Parts: sequence; C-alpha cells; structure tokens
Amino acid sequence: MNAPSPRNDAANGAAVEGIVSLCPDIGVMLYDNPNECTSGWASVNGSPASYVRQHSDLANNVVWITNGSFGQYIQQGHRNVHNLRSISFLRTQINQIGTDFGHDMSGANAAVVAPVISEVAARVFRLASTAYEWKAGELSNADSLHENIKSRFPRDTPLNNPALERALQAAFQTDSAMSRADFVPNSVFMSLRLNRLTHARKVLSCPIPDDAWEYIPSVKLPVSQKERLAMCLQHETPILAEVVMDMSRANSEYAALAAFGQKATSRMALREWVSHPELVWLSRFAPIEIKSIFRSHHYCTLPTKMQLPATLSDPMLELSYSAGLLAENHWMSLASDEYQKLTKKKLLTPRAVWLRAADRALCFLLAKKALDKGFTVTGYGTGAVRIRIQRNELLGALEFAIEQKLVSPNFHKLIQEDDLNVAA
Amino acid sequence: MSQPDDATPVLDFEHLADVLCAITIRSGDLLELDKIADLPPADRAIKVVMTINRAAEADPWIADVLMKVGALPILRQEYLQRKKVA
Repeated sequence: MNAPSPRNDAANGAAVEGIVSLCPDIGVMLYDNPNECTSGWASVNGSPASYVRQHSDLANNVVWITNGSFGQYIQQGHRNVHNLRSISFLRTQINQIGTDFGHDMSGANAAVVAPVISEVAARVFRLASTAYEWKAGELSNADSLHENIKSRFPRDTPLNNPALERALQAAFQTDSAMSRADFVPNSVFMSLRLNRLTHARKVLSCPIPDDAWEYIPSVKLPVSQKERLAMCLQHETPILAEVVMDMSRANSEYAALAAFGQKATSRMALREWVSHPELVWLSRFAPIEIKSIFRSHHYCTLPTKMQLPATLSDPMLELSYSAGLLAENHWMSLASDEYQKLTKKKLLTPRAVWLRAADRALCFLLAKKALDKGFTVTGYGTGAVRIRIQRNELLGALEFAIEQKLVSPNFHKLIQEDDLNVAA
Repeated sequence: MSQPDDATPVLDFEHLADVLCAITIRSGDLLELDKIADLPPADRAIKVVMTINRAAEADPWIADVLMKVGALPILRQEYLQRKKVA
C-alpha cells in the first residue's frame, strides 16, 4: 500500500513546511486477527482504508501503528521492523482510541475505524512536531511516544542511595485494579476519562521533592503513632514513609477501592512505602502505622522546561482529543521509570513517584464518586476510571459523565435505541 | 427568575470549555472538534462555533444549554480577541 498524502489544511501551509519534514506520515494497520498479525485494514493520515495482505505490503515511508497483540509484536520480531510501532505507541492503545470515539473494532468495522484512528494519530504527531525540538527522524524512533518526549528533557541522574531507591520502587504504583469483574449479560465495560489536557495540568502542578534526602529511623520519630502520623501529614517538606496499613479497620468499600499495591497487569515490589500525597489521602480512611521515613529538603515546582509545551497552552485545546493524548504522553514521560542498559536496573525518580501518586489520588476521587453512584469500579489510573455497568444504566452513566466533566466514552455511539426503551 | 439571554454570558471561556466537552459527549462530535488542533489559534473559535451550532440544530437539549450559559457571546468575544492577537 502506497501512502497517499491527504495532509490537513494547516499542514499544507508553507509556514509549516519545515515541521512537516520532521513529521512522518502516520498510518494505522488493524489486523483481522491481532494474534496472527497478517492481513488487515490500513489507513494513512485519515485516508480511506485499504485492505493489505501482510505488513510487508505497507508503505515504507510511513510509520505504522498496529493493533497486533504486544506478545505477537515481540514474538514475530515486528519490534525490529523499521516502520512498525506497537498498539500502545501512543500509550492509550489504539483499540481504546477507537472505543473512545464510539467505534466497534471487530471484523469489517475495522475499515471504518482505521481512518478515524490514523487521523487522530497523525494529528498527535503534527502537534508533537511543533511542541518540541526534533531533528529529522527523531520523532518516531523510540518504542513509544512518551519515551521520545523524555529524550527532549535533561537526563535523570541516579540517586546513589540503594535504600532510598528501594523505598521509591516500593512506593511507585502506576495504577489501581480491583478484583477482576466478571462479564455479566447485558453489561458493558467502559473507561470514564477525565479531560487529558486538564488532568495533565493538574498532575504537573503537583510539587515534587528535591534530591536532598535524609533517612529518619523509628527511634528519632515521635513514640506515639498518632503523633508520628500528624507530624508527617503536617510536614512542610516531602516525606516518603515506611508504613503498615491496617485495612481491616478501614471502611471496606473504600479500602478495596484504594487497591493498595494492586495493579492491572503486573505485580509490583512489596508495597511498604508511601509518598507524601498518598499518605494524605490513604490516612483519611485507613489506620496507618509509620515505621520510618525519608525526608527531602524541600518541595519544588517542576522545572519550566518540563512543563507542558507552549503549543498546548491554548485553553481551547481542551476540546481536542489529540492534544489530550500528547499532554498525557508528556506527563507520562516524567512519571515513568527508565531501564538503564548500562546498570541493567530501572532508574526511578522521586518526581515519577510523586506525579503518579497525584494522578492516582485524582482518579480515586472520581472512582469513589462512581462507586457511590452504584457502578462497579474495576480499576483506575492515568486519568481514567474503568467501570462495568448494565446497559440500562447507560443513561445514568451519561449524566455522570456530564456532571464530572468527562470526555469519553462517546455515549452517542454507545447508547442504542433499545437502551432508551429499557431505561424508560 | 429570567433566563440569561444571548447578550449576557454567565461563564468565562475556561468554564465554557467544560460545558462544550459535555456537549461533545452527548453529540458525538469528538472527531470533528479534534480538528481545531490543526488550526491556528485565531481560527479555532470559529470552528468550535460551527461544530456546536450543528450539534444545537440537531439536539434541542444542546441548544437549550448553549442559550442558558450564553455560549455564543463568549465564543464571539474569544474569536475577536484571538483575531486581534493574530
């Protein structure tokens, strides 16, 4: 399949010619079977989809984001193909993007969905090309967009304190997952998503610790646990606390919702440490015993260089899904650990731990409201809450989405005529 | 209590953006509205006006909400400000 060039009006302007040369054409390939990764529907920059036999038929001058399962992407060596990128290149999986726009990805629908996703993906790239400084070929060369963006910032330096590094790993939780909710007839699973750009602004406004840490053992803390907790909560500088959580004495619903140390996809390090923002929100509903702490010298704001780029400063861009995706990749680049080939260890900064804690605290508030509304919450994190509801609750979910200023899912496509009859 | 009319906006633009997001959820115009990211800042307001006008024509609820919050004067003001800057 050769790449057509239906670039948008703005991209046709002479003024952006330089930017366009940095920004490759972006395509989306939706395999018929994501576990086989052979034939499927392909679209470039929002153009009508064409059917292709295999990935080698795809245009060589286009970067293709595919919906192949990650396992197959690795197993079949697609990671090493110059123009293929994985399903999660934009962090939000392309299946999820299709769902957010209210599309069913299965079967022949892929021909309709592929242009929608490729239009959005191409727009994210155009925004990214103007938002940061790139040399030719740099914009899409990493495994994910947030890794690419991370390369625009000064390199993080190791803390050279193994005890502190272990404590940070034990406090770093990327998302929260409740026990898996079973499928129930006539029910739907959906992600209720906060406005990504607004959420990124909130997360990035969270004060972060500096790098001057000191360890304070139990003997140097107040003897009474009540006083210890009060001291930590009121502390003006950042605290990383070694804790024992007594969930048996907490409100059971909210304790389960906290999903302390419980993630959706992988098991994390033993969750014995919590960051300051987490300590504040967890202490509101669960008794906490503090064993020792690390204390940083002071809180600081994120350096200007790491704030959202000026391209995203227009408040009107809160209405743009693509701008939201770029903003999400931006804050994610600052809130992720990084594998270091030299030391064969993951480098994790206090900044990442703090930003993730801020994200989960904001998502917890929404999850709690969803739970109070009677929805089954299955997990939350990165600005979204996953729920399962009966189809006859869809109108209630739409009301909830409007009240909470959510941006997806697209209820217009999700709600069918039958759902309205049942709800009535 | 009288309803605010077209000439008396009750929100600033920042709050109007929340309302417009909600409207988009209902109308399903997410992809259409996304196109503003490709436009220069001065042209974005007019694109938003065109998109929500279409949504209002198709859905009386949306028309009602836009009227109540005085969306059009806010967007008109936003449009003029952006044109001036451009």
